Amino acid sequence: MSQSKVVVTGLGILSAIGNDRSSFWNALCQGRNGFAPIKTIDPNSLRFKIVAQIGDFDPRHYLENKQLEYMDRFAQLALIAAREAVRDANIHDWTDEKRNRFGVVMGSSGGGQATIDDGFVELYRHHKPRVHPLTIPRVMANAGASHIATDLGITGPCYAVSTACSSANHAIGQGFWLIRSGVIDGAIVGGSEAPLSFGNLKAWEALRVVSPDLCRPFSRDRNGIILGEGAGVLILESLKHARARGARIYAELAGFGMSADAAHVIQPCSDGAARAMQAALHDAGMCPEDIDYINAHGTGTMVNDLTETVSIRKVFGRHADKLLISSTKSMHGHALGAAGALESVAVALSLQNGVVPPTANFTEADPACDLDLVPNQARRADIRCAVSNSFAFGGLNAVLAFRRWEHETD
Amino acid sequence: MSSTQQTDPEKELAERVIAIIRKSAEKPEENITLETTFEELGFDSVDAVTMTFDIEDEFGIEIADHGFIGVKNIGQIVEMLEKIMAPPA
Repeated sequence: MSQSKVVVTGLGILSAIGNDRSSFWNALCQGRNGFAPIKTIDPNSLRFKIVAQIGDFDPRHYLENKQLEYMDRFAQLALIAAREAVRDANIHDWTDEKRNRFGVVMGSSGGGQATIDDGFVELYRHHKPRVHPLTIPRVMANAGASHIATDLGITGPCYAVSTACSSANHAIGQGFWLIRSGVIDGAIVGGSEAPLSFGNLKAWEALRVVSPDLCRPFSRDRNGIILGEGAGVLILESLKHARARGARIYAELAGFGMSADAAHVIQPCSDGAARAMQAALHDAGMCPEDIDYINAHGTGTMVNDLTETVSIRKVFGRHADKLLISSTKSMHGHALGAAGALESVAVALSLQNGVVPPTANFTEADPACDLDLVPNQARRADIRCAVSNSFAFGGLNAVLAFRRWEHETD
Repeated sequence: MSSTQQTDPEKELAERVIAIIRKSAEKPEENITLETTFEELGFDSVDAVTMTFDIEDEFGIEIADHGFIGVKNIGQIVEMLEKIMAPPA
């Protein structure tokens, strides 16, 4: 089977810094974060108060009551972002054949966490003998993917990937390979996460990796992640399919690489991260010197940012000093299974606009993270190719490589 | 505080802390004293988080996220717990 080029033709987003492509991009360029005290839970019940919560958003404006009844918040976010991405891609002429030649691959780390919490409250606090009959379909990690397929009538391959914080990158990479190998012509890919339920927040609190104030990736005084909710969805198409319908192209998705650390369940490993980056470059037919920008995993924990710096130096050698590297988690927070999707949207827009979003909230350089981290100010730059890193608990790494779309060669 | 000059309540506190730490030690059968360092025990940051949780549970207290940062040995943990659990003056 011949290999097709794969291009990004639509973007949909729901995040703490914007519920559409333009507002998300504007916030990124301004270095504006979406962090605020949690609104839905008594903040006195948690050691940390600050989260990245979606603002000005009521799912009832987008979905019918009957749909809402079947959906946890994570699936609602997935579906609403997917509709936005399809609208953005301007795909209208859905024939039965086209629906069968499209796929859906979505990532989520925790699936329907709020639904699990609600059920436990009924059982253990209210001593009810039963839970809601739709608990199982709301909780299942594939609910987002399934509701997208059902709502849009997509009948090709449809599944979910759950690899903690790498879920979205794994999902995007799977959709990419399905198209490139000719199995399908297009895919709706990305990730969604709604982690701000009380029980889940208590679990994160216990792990002691959440910052009490601000996410400051790569800064010397960084003190943890800020948990975020959100969804990012990309429309991927084979170049042939996109050209045939005259689609606008944001960027080319050119490579995907995966690896497992096979080391520690929680502690990251620079070798594993480096192997995933190398695999993505190899898959894209790129060499390290082709890359101008890395959207880092950059969680803002001491150990991640240090390990990621080491892994970047392993892969890029002296070219690492020429790279622009930023963590947009400093603005949209760490959306776990949606993180890679939010960051892929950022990378696609970065390549299209020739602007690198900053690492926001940057205070003081850490000598152990001695890279150009684009501190606090977005930077105009001639970016040809970019890499987006995701590294997950469980030691699972997934890296995507994008290339700027050169319209003159179209 | 040295391990040879402990009063009974102090000794009891130290023994309870050592019992918690022994659970996460790489070689729990080895002699663990107040002078034993976390490096000697092979502790990583995840072991430290688990130990902190177990101590909170054992003594019914809450320890801030930065609570045990910089602590090198078990004796320092016991000293901090004595301060946390001391009755108000």
